[in-house]
Parts: sequence; C-alpha cells; structure tokens
Amino acid sequence: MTPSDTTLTQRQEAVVARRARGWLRGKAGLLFVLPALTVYSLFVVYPVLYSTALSFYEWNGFQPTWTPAGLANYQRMLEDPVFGIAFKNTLMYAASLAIFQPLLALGLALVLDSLRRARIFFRTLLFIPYILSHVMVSLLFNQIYEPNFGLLNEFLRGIGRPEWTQIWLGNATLAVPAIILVGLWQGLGFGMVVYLAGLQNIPQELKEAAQIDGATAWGVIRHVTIPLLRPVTLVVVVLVMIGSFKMFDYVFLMTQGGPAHSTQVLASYVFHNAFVRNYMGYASAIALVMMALTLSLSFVQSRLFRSDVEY
Amino acid sequence: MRGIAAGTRGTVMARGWRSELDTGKLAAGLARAAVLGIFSFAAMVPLAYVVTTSLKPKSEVFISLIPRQLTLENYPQAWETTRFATLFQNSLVVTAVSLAIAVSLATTAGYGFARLRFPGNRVLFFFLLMGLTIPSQVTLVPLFVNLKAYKLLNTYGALIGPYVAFGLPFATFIMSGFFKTLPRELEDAARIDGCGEFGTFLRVMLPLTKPGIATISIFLSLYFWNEFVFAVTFISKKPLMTIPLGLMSFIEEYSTNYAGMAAALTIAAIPIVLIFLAFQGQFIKGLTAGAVKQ
Repeated sequence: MTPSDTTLTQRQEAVVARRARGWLRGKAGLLFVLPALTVYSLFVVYPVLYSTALSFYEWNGFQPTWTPAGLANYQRMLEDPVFGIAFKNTLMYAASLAIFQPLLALGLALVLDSLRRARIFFRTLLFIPYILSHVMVSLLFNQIYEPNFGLLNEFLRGIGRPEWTQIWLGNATLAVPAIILVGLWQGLGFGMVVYLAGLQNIPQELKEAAQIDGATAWGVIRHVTIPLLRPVTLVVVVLVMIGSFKMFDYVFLMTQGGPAHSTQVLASYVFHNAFVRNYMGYASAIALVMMALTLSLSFVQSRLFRSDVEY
Repeated sequence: MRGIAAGTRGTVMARGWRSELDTGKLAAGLARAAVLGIFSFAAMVPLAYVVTTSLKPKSEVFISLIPRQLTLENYPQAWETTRFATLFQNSLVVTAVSLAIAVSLATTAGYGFARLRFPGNRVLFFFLLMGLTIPSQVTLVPLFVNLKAYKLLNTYGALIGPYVAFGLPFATFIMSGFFKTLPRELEDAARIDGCGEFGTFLRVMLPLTKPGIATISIFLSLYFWNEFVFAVTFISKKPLMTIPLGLMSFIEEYSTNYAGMAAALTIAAIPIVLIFLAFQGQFIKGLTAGAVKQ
C-alpha cells in the first residue's frame, strides 16, 4: 500500500463519515421517536385498525373465519334498546359530571384560595379520593349503598326516615345517579386543584383594580375571577367529559350494568358484547362509536386550547 | 407602584365601612367554614367508614355503625384470603417494569419530537397524541385475540405492553414540553465538545429534565398501579393478579364478609395514601400536568 493510497482511503473515510453525519442530522430524530412509535403502533394503532375491520364482520371469537356483515353491526345499534340506554347513560354521566364537577370544584377552589396556612392541608385532604383506584372506590361505595346495613340507609334510619331507604344500586332510576355521585366524589379533588392553579395565575392587580372601582368581594369573583378562569373551566370540562365517555370501572364493579341493563354505559356494553355474549363484531362497532365521541371531543379541545387568554 | 396605591385606597375605604364590612366578613367566613366542613366531611366519611368497618368483629357488622368492640382479626384474614403479598408483588413488578420502559421511551421520543428536525416530525407527534383520547375498549378485543394466539394471556407482558403504549402519548407530550423549555445553546455547546446526537441527549439534556421525569413517573405509576380494564380482561389466574383484580375477586368469593372486605380495602389503600401524603406536592403536580400550566 503506497502512502497516496492511504491518504485516499482516509479522505474517502472522511467523506463517508461526513455523509453519514449528514444523513443522521436529517433523520436521527426518527431513531429517537421510533421505539415509542413502535410500541404505540403495536398496542394501540394496530388494534384500532383491527377493530375497525372487525366492526364490518360477525365473529364469535372461536370460529376460524369472520363472516362479512356489511353495516349490520352499525344498523343493529339503532335497533338495540340496550345500546340506546348505554348511549343515554354515557351522555348523562358525562353531562352531569361536566356541569357539577367544575361548579363544585370552582367553589371549593375559591374557598381554599382565601386560606393561608390551612390551604395545603385541605388541598391534600380533598385530593385523597382521586389517588385511590376505581376498584377500591367502587367496592367502598358498594358497602355504603348496601341496602341492609350500608352507611347511607343506616344514616336515613338514624335520622328517623326509614321510609327514605332504598336499594340504591338495584333500582333502575336511582342507580345511575348513585354512580354519578361516586364519579363526582372521586374526581372533585382533581378539578379543585386545577382551579386552584388557575386562580394563582390571576394577577392580584386586576382584583384590586375592581375593588377600587367599588366591586364587592362577590362582584370581583363574578366579574373578574370567573371570566378570567374560562380557559381553566374549558380544560376541566373537556377532561371530565373525555374521562366520562371512557368510564367503565364503576359500572362494571358496582352494578355490572344491571338491573336489567339499566346502568349500562358504552364501555361496559362493549365488554358485555365482547366477553359475555361473544359478539366480537358488534362490540367493535360500539367501541368505534365511543372512539368517535372521544376523538371529536379532543378535536374541540385542540381548537379551544389554541386561543389561550392573556392577562 | 400601582399596587401600593391601590392598597392604601383600599384601606381608606375599609375604614369608612368598618362595621358593615365586619358583618360581611363574618358571614363570608362562616360560609367558607361551612363549605370546607361539608366537603372535607364528604371526602373523609366513606374512608372513615371503611376503616371502622374493618375494625369490627364480624358479628357486629350488621348491628351498629360505630364498633362497640375493636378487633384487628379481620386484617390477617383479609391478608391471607386475598393473598395480598402475591397481589402486591404482581402490582409492583408490573408497575416497575412498565414504568422503566415507558419513561425511557417517552424521554427519548419527547426529546426527538421537541429538539430534532426530521421528516414527519409534526405528523408523527400528532399521531401519537391521538392516543390520549383513544378508549382502551377499542383495543380490548384485538389485544385479547392476539395475546391468546401468542399464548400471552395470564402473563405480566399482557399488561406491560398495553400499559406502556397507553401511557406513552401523555408522557411523551409532557417530556417534549420539558425539553422545549431548555435553552438551545446547551445542545450547541455539547455538539462543539464533540457529543453525538445521542450523547447530547444522554449526558447534557436528560439530567436537566429530572423534574419532567418525576412528573411523568408519578402519573404513570398511579395509572399502572390502579389500572383495571386490561387487568380484568387479560388476567384470570390468581397468582398473576394485581391488587385491583385481587380486591375484585375477593368480593366475588366472599360477598358477605364485609368486615374482611373493608380490611382488604384498607390494606390496599394504606401504601398509596402514605406515599401520597409524603410527596403530596409532587403528586398533585404530576397528576395535573398537562391541565395546569407548569
């Protein structure tokens, strides 16, 4: 090997290396995001596509092949009274939480915001229900709603109103509100903390300016604080609604959708069709309706978030 | 300056209306105390109820709300019948492994999306963020069918895979937000010192995002620890059940043993509540990340 050859090779190597760096400079980012995207595709994207396909077939989970069904699974939803109940309950649950959760959370946050040393104490205390698992909370409320010796009926008997006692979770009209109350109980701390953070972002000068103009304490809240918290309210409402559309655990663990399907929600009805009745195609179609609901909500959310208010 | 002026004027006004303000203040103070009292009571009563029930002898559960006689006998029984040690171990393994994988994937991807330019960056990021709103129900049937085909039902992996995948969109979103706040000069300095893309990420950027990693770790751990839908669909064998599943199977088998159930719930709640109380500030920050401006 002559010296000139070596030089040439080194120069070539340098060129190759530079090119490699150039290639990497453009694409290295892909290597960083690829592992995450692979896992995501495998366990989220591929199943979504699979479900989409399956929603146009009939399949009981055991047959070797799927039977083409066209739009039958979607038409079936329109005729299926239980789907109607599940859809109505899901909307009812989402709407109730979307109204009461921000309202109560804001009230609590306003009170906590006026505290000094006790603020952290109450914030911590009121946040505890949120960290418990849905399973724990459901089983806990199963005991509270228990008709014979549960806390609620014991309390009603204790205050001399035995005629008000109910079989709370076994009553088609009362079971849904009873479950909504559980959702509210567990989620309230979350909304409160989000509002508290929002309140701390409101500049003190704005409130003082309103006070100079003669506004009462309530007037400041009504005309300064609440309007400025609008973006926070939107966040809370949208997050609560997305969570509500996916709600499964409470129903599954407290009523199993009963009595007579009266507490069924979309998520529990998907499970019921897939793993109790083995209607895999129909279950997939309902799941897709659920996804359409949550995705359209998140689209609304992304629109709203773009217009961030400046103080 | 303006703040001070406003403060003085406020005081002047307050002096003029002292008596009226004091009654108003008193009423407002009472209203506040009432609100706090009612909500704290409502938050705590169910928890207090389960603890008192767990301390009652079985014969007394049906008789009185407040135990006349305290006993700890329900605890060892609940511990045995739920096989809590096994449940705890399973939850710990699944949570720890999922957490390690999810945090490494989310930090690398977050860095890639936030700081590196490559074709498709924005589209792929959006594609990943869509996962924030995809309900796990859509994936239940396909995952069940495939896990069954590969004989992976009743394994830790059946949970770890979906957990990581469903945790990733949010964790990556938060991490990319953190990386965006770091000054670009840091990267340039690292490059000049001869660090490659990965070296820059690992040695310079990653150590600076510890708060971000803490945030996503808290959020992810709690999600993994409490998750129920995948667990109930993919795990049916006792030795592999996580805590939520074990609690559920307890009521299926011992539906009338309320004191035992209450003891099991208390046992399950104690570790998580203690950890929360110890780190409540970070916990709340981690769980409201994304909804609250950092």
